[in-house]
Amino acid sequence: MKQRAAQTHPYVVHTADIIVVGGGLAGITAARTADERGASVLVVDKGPFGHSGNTGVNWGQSYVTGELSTDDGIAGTTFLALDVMGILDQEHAQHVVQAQIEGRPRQTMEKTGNIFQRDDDGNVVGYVQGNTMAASPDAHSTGVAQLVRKRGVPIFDNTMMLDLLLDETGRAAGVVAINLNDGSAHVFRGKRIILATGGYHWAKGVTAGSPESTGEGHSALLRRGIAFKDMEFPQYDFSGIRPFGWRPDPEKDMLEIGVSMSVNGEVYQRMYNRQKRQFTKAQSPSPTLTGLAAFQGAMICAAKELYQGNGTTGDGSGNGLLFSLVDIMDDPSTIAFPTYKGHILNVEHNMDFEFPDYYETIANEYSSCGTPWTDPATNETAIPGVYAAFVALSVMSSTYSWAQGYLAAKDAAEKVREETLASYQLQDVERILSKAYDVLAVEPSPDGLRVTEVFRRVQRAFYQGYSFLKNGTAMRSALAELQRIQAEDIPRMYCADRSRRCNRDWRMAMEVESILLCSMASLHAGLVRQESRSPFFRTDYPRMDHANFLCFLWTSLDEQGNWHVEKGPIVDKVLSREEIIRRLGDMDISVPNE
Amino acid sequence: MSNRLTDQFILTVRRFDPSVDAKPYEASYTVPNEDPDFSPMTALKALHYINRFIEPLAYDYNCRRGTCGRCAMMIDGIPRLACYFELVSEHRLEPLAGCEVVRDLVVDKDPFIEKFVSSSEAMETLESNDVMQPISGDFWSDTIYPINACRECMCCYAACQVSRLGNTSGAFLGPGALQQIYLRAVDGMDQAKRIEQAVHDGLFECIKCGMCTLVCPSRIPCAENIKDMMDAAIFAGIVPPDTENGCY
Repeated sequence: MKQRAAQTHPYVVHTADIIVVGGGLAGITAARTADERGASVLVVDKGPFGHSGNTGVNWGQSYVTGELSTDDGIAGTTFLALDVMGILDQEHAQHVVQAQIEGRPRQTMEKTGNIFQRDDDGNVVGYVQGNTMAASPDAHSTGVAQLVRKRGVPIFDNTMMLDLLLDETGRAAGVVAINLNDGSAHVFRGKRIILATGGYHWAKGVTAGSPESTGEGHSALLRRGIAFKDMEFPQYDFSGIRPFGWRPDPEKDMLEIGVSMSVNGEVYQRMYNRQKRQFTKAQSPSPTLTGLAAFQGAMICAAKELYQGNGTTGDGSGNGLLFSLVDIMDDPSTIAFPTYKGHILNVEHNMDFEFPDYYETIANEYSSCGTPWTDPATNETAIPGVYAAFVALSVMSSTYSWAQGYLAAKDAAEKVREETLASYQLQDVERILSKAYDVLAVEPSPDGLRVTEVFRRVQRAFYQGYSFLKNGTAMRSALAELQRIQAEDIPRMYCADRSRRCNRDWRMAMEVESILLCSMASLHAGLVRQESRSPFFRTDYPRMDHANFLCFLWTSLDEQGNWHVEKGPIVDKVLSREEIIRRLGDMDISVPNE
Repeated sequence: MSNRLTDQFILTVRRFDPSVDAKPYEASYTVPNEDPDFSPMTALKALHYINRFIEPLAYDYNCRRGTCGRCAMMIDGIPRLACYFELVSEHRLEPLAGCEVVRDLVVDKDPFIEKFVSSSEAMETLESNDVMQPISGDFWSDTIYPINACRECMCCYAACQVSRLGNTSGAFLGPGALQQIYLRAVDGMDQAKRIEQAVHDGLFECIKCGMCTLVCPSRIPCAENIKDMMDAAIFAGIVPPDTENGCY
């Protein structure tokens, strides 16, 4: 390490073969894998390592793995590839399953400190003969995080990536980051960079996901013209569907948060679940799937609370961390049973109250997101040396996080042996840092807008324009509002807090462009997808349209600031497109009739 | 039911920005009881309110529902998770005890994390163990699962008088990290001498006050587990000779 006295903004340079950005399940796995393979690696993590992002929220629970496959992963691949969320990148699914068979994530977690649930016979829950994919309700990754520390991998946590550094040929050279605790600037120089930055859930606000998930990895690549697929399916979240529990007037609540209940969202929710069950039943009799479907049926969340960024706890009024006792407590076969039983006991212990019949629960499917094109076997993006381990669009989010971190690190650790460090331009560092520090220097003024308000405006626009039931008009007006925010609000935003230490305003100022870009990408892709397909519902295009939209939509931003959306084929190596269409059947949400 | 008896709460927050302030100071804030019909006001929500509408302040959080362990702080002198604490009337919020303050309610927990890391939770076996071994389902639910539920919030360290004041040998690993040793001591798979490890790590420094159990948001019976290890150590005759054992 050496201190480099730049003219304006001093920064510290750190060097390693591999820079892992992100400390969630993917980042932890990438760091461990690279370190075990002898590469020098360091971790840059926005939150406290082991507690950051969505992994910090749910700790990689509901981990589904095919590592004890008896059929060389064939059934497991089918399971992943046909995930009804619409992921149809079957080749990548094959690699993900193979990575699990090779890398043994479950055993790693059990060895590092998380002992998996056992059934009455003492066997690991989910390992039934013939079931080649098994889920676990509590696959905590903290033990692995401790192991990464124990192995001596340098951890730079509470440090937020601002941007990538590339050399003149466009190859990875490093990342620029700010330590959020003390405001110091850092350049992490490496031969290969693994972006394990997670999703962009916080762009919507209404989410059970982490406020740290603001899509820095996404925006760094979007700004460089990289095309993303699946952006029209942003993190799917039941909180957007039915935010009610004991409340007598759910429609009023929904209106308060900007959701129109003029069409019955609940019916679509049921249709979605039904379609999903039909589909999964057709392709696999796995008990895991049945459990998941039942579990998700019980997943409803208090949207207002989470939208406000508030904590949710319980006191008998039906908010927050309260799970459907009917569905979960009474049915121990539901995979999530012990975890949630534990949470329920905790609530009781801390809040000292009795449980009436609860209805609300947190959302589950909140870790999936749009992904750039990557090599299906390694997750390397079109930028040489930069890997994207963001999680593909999937219900099996932790499965993908783990595997993508593993695949990327395995490949990177191999390649760095032959490579040398690329050089970066000092003026790039200066430009990136100036932008970050300049916003802190803006004087608060009556004409200005506090960054918290700008941030919330983006969230509100995206949520209102891209809620569960979408339509073109709402999407276009959201897009117009986001463009207005970009042009008018962002240039006049200021931080109410001017300190460089632990400054939430400043962090949001550095994040706001990311969530803005991710929201815009979602809206542009959503406008092109003129059909309905679970979980994507457009009231103005209520029918499924396989002929035009059983495809990937590649969304990109060019240098002039124009967005482009192009259709591309799915990767149907395992099950053909025709077979998928046959199984999916038709869906028409124009006449809810249930 | 949520608190409908008051229209507002008064929070006294200890504030300190080491880069600016010579010493910590206290600030009082009045926070309205916004929507008692909808939900209770928690300490975390009150902090959001202060930060957004009164003045910026530094605090850490992630999940908003008691699963990440990041918003641990002293509330009325007791270590708790802010997202789990329902306000009643007047409260005092202070940074988690025993930690260096980064700013306001944000603290550096790394020294405690280091203790967790040094306890070597990773399984140690003589030969490579690639089979996930059978464990009684009840034993898993009753003993192992609660330890899996540790959120590393460090409330137990903030409550532990031995860790903070009476750590005479300097070796005391503290309640949280000792749970990890306990997990391996009882899991039936690990083959290292975990009880011996615990003794070397200051097991008998514990005065069994039980505060760790009381404050643990995950309801881990920390003190009971420590007592179990002490029993096992005595049974095995590996009590350190210089232990007065007065507490035992």
